[in-house]
Amino acid sequence: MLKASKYLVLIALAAGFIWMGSAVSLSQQGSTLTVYTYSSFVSYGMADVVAQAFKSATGADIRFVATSDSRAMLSRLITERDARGEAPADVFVGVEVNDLKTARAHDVFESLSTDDVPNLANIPQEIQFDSESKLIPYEHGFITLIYNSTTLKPEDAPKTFQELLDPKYKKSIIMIDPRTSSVGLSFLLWTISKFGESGYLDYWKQLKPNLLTITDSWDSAFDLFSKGEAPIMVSFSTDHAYDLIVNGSDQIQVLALEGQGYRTIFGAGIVKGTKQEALAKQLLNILLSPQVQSQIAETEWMIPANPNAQARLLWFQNVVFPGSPESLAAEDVSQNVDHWIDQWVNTVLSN
Amino acid sequence: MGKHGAQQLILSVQLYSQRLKVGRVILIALPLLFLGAFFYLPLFQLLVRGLSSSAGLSLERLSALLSNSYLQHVLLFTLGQAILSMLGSVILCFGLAYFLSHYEFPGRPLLKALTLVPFALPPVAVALGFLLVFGRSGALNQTLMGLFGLHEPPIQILYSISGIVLAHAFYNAPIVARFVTAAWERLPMRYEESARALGAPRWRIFLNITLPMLMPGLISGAMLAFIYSFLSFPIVLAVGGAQFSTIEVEIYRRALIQIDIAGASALATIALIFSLLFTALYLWGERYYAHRLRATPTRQRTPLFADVKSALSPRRWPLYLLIFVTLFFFLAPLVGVFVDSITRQSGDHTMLTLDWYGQLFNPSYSALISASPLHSVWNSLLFALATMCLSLSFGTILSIILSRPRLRGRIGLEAIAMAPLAASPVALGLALLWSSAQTPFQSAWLAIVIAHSVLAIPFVIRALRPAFSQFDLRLYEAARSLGASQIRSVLDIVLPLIRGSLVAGAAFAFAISIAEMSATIMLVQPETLTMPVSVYYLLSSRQFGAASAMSVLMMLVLAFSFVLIERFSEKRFQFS
Amino acid sequence: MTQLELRQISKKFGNLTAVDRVSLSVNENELVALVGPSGCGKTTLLRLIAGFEQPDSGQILMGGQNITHLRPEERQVGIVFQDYALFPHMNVKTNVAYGLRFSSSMSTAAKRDRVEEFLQLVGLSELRSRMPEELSAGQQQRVALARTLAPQPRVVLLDEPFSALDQKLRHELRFDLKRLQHALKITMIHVTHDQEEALAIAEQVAVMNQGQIEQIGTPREVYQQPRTTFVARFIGRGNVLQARVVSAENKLLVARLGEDQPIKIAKSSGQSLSSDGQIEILIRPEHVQHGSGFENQLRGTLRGIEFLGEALLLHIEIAGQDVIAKIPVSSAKSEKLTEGQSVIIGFSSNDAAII
Repeated sequence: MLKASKYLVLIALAAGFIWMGSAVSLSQQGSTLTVYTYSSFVSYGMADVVAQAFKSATGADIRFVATSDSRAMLSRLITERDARGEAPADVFVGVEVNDLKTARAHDVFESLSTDDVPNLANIPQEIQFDSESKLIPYEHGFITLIYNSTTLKPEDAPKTFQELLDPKYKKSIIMIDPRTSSVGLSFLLWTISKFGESGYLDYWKQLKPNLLTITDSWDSAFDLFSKGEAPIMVSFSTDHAYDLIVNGSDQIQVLALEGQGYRTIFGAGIVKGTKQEALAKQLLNILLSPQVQSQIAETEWMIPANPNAQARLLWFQNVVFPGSPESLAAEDVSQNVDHWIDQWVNTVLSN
Repeated sequence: MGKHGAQQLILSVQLYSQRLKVGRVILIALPLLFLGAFFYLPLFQLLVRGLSSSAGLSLERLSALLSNSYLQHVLLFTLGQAILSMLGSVILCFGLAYFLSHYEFPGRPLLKALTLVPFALPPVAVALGFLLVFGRSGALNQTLMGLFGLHEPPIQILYSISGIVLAHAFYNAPIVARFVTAAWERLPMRYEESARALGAPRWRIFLNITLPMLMPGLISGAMLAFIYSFLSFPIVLAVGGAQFSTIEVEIYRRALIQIDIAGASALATIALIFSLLFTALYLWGERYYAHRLRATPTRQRTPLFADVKSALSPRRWPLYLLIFVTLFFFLAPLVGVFVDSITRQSGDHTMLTLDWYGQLFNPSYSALISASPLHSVWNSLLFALATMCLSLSFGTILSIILSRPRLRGRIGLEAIAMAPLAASPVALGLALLWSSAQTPFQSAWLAIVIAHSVLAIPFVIRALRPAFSQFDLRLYEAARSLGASQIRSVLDIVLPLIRGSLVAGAAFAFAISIAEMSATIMLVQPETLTMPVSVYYLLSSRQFGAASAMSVLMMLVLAFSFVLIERFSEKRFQFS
Repeated sequence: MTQLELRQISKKFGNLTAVDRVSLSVNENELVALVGPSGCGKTTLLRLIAGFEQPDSGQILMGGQNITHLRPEERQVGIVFQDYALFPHMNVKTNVAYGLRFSSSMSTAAKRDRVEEFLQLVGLSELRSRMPEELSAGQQQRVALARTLAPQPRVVLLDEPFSALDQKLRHELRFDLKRLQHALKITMIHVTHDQEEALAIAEQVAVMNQGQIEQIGTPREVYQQPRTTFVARFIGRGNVLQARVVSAENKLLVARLGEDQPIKIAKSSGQSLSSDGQIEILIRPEHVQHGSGFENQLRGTLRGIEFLGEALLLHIEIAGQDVIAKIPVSSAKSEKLTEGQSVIIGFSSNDAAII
């Protein structure tokens, strides 16, 4: 026999269930643009900036979906499209220059012209990486190493690729998997650009003892880094500025090996098959507007694509701008990247 | 009798076959059709995808994969770590099993139930717990370094195979312990007592008497531990790092990140071959060690705290040490996650907060998980209920068939029904994703419920089969001869009497559905987000507090269902 | 009037023939005992009648109607199992009432009365709300009986219902059963391996061996006139002696055991003998007398003595064959008997039967 108290618990549970159901079934009204992007675009606040600017310009809403990093999201977009037979998003924000190959191979994006996105006229040619003009660049930056200055004194930090091989850095570097992360891939490409196709594998062989671990994403690497698991990781040249401005701390220092960094550029595009092309074009234009671009520095912690965008002096002073950033030609990368990664996997991960 | 009799005979035979056979055949066919349509067919399609090339079906891709040195490495590593993890689980389980089967103390049933919680915990949360406790700057190392003034963290287990093995042991030792505890509880004292009377020292008794008699439970548990470690997916990535890759990780990466569908299918084919092999091994092992101990009255447990003197006696100290180490190992990561869920880092200060739980019950949309957190809680509960109903009905039918005393082809049927136990969930998710794209049932929530049910059916069968095999069929027959139809007899007599096992099976199905992530993540869409997947999403966007809070909520739901299992499995009707 | 009839029923399990062309008819209000050693197929036969198994061939008729393919619940055949199979989650009253749930013709009040009536009949009215596990074995047995009888089945099957009880209780209950059967006019088939029980309560005894019925008859017939060696040995204690026919007349037969010692045996006229002249003779131990002065006399060696209380069992070896004699203690000059001594036994020609 159930006692009265048990009935009460059951009723409370049922009521809770019904409340949840009703709370959940509230659906959105009006025209909404679905945008796939990477999680830090949302968690660090850029998404809100864009959504507000978009709302005031068009009256429409944006629904962001951002559950992991940029490459995983691009893959997810493609997988979902192939499985469902329709575009799950209208706009994609965050194709890294080295993922151009994937985007092209799976024919993800619509073609664009300057008429569609008037603000594109203000973007320097050198970062317009897509020769087919499907992806527009909205921010860029430099991949470097960073280090924790409380556990690694600046005078002890390596200055060159060669010094990085020193046994005193044994298990001191958090690397990121080039198969799953664009940051990891950028570092790999940097070593290829530095040592050439014939030499980069040798370098990695020697580097291997100094790697603590290889994470699947920048996020998990940064997590280990901030929990103090290792003093060095692959990251961005803006991280010192971030640490200083956000945490008021001097802990994270940028380590531009040989004064260089590897260029990374992020682009956005309109997903083929969208039913809201006009709105999507408006969004891309807003993304490049000075108003939105000026927020890139301190929300995305990247360099805005639009050179007219303003940023704080403090920010500019603490970002490391490499003297001569390295980069391989996008078309070159497209052709060889699979082979390079395979070689890397076989060398670094196979034993 | 003549012509009339012959006609009557034919008539009654027809009647008989119509009424008995047709209904029964449909009933038996339903669960098999279900498994066929949603397990075997999709996996077969996957196989075809993996094997087909421009020149039709060939083994070309498979042999290319198998001759790739990296994949050979992955395969060997997967096997090696699974064997080590199995051994680790077996060793670690003994402390727990000995303690639970030999000592009586307040809260014992609760502890027994809680030890099952890790088993169903999302791997990402476990990895987080491990990092918080065992990491280079985790709680344990910090404490030890503070205590002994060390400069280097003394415990370095993460980012290595030992970390992976330890994490797998954390997962699987409780399952092994569960099997061993059950065997130990039923092990009659008289064997050990007569060996002692013959003058055997304690360790000889353990090796010669106790261990062999625990073998059936130990083997079943160890095989499960092996299978789960073999199929382990995010734990390897999170605890070991991307330099340690198992087949499952490789399938996931190829399918969802590199969009190499053909490669992923071929790998999944390899994984499937292993799965079938393991299922066969598992069933064989169970059969081989099936010399079941007669159910004897449960062994008398020693009260842990009978009186102050015996509780404080130095002879107890090794036991206390064992309990402490075991409990620390199993509970610390859970506590780590819990602490993480109620604290917030603000500069150098750590503050208590309930904000993360507030976020959990927030019905507004969050882009980071592509739904509202509350929505994922609601979805998980709904899916778990649906999974429970579906897998319980199919599992019950299959258990009844499998426990029939005279059944031809039992081994085959058993293998067919139990195969999902060892099937790669990632491959299953992938297969269901494609097959659902082709079939009219495009609904993502149905696909998820189906995937969960397929994975839960073996567990339901595990829970129900002993009850059906031990069920006194004469009770059912007595009801029939008293005029009750088949269905009435089952409802009036059979179901009430196996209620305990039914609840256990239901709770297992529920827990599996709540915790399943590997297959779900392949099928999930924003509207069908579940709790573990949102934990995964939250962690991958570094929302640790919210992820921990969601994990704690999952632990509570799981603990609740395991307490249910515990309550009902001990209160079973005794059959003389 | 025949209530239940089995026609040439056969049932195989794999290679094992459990029931082999069995035919049997049971009259209304009759108690038929089915006896045989374990594994002889008697339980299978019962399960075939109850409908839990389907025969491979043959027919089962109830009141002339073919019920071979009816489901168990449609047959109106009640069954009492060896371990009673009381529903452990129902109390005594609910157990007894269970079979009445499926009768649509009875009113609720009538059902209630029926349950009370049967509880009274088996003397368990006071224990009606007990759970089965709270009852003694004998009480459980009576609940099982009441539960089976309450829906008034056309035939009641009892599968070794007393085997789990001690001897005293067994005797008590079998008497109760007989009384109930008479009072309620029930047709029953009682399966047992206890031949004494079968002889005590049955109107007809069917002896089964290796799937076949070897003999059906009244208790007296199967005891006194066994048709096969198996029946002779299985029913009661019997001395089966090998002998060679010396001469056969119309009503009397003379045979020889070993070299000498001719014995006379009464012979029924219809009985035919095997051509080689070898016969088997059944003599019940209680018909073997000690001492001389009988129609047939045999000399043997005393091999052992068992004291039974009211009687003595003498194991005697005669011409290489063992003979058991059961003699009243009062009639024996027991103190004179010692193992190894030579004894003379005798029996009347009417007490020996040719098998």
